[in-house]
Amino acid sequence: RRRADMFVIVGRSEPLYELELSGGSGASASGNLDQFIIHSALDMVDTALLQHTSLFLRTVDSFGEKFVSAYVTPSHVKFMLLHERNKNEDTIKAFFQEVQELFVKITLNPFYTYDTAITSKGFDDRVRALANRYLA
Amino acid sequence: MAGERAVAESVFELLMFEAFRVAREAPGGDGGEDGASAEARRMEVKGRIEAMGFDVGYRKVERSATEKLLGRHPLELIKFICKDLWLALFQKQADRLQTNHRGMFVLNDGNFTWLKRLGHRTDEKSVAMAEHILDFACGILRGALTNLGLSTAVYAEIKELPGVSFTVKVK
Repeated sequence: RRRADMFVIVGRSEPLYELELSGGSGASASGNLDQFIIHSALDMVDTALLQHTSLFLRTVDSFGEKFVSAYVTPSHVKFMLLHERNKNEDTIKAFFQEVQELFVKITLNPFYTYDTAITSKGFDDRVRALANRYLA
Repeated sequence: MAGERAVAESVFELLMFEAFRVAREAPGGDGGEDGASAEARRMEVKGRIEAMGFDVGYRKVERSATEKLLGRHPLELIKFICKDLWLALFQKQADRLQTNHRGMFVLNDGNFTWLKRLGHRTDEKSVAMAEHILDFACGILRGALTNLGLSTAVYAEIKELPGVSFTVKVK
């Protein structure tokens, strides 16, 4: 039973990375809704930031049965996870922290233009592996 | 063993000096005889080196700042630069921070690591090298601050070798 639907990294001016976790069926119909829910939650992230000093912001928004959890790097890059149950915060936090490490590494890579969409297959493979480990 | 990989400092310095040489000798600008175009050329090289520094600083700070949110106040960000980033880049912290509380900060380092090889030499080549080093360092500070959300202008002055004073003006 999957625990998460979609993971998005949002940079300063645009989304940098998107991972659909909910499986192939009905992807385009629910996929757009998932994106919409996550992007609507961005304002809530800004609100949550006013109350936190930690990077993990926990659940910032919900839409029906779905919840959006968020994490922000000191460089203000937002990690957003759309998931079904408001539980296992430690697992979600651990996932975000591991992705942050991958994000740091790719930011250090001079062949990656920072603040642009991440197209590296290596990055994608590693994030998928983390999602399987922490969120499956 | 989760090792931290290290490289000899001299290797980094050689790479940095070589990068400056490439910036100086890369094509562009006519490099003519008269003062005007020589000055334009000098500014172009300066811009190139500062831009390299900006890129390095922008990326480096992602590695240096991973633990907690630093808040939006410029003073918190500059303090982070003086301690954590300085330590990561120069193996020491900045010595002194001054501010007028109106968007201007002066960061003093009485023993700037990257200038130590130049000793107290005042020949033309050493002076030019010192300038490259400072332009690069200013770029790094500006890039780091930009990634942390602060837009600034940064310039440096040699106070008394090897002491440097960096001025950061928040835009």
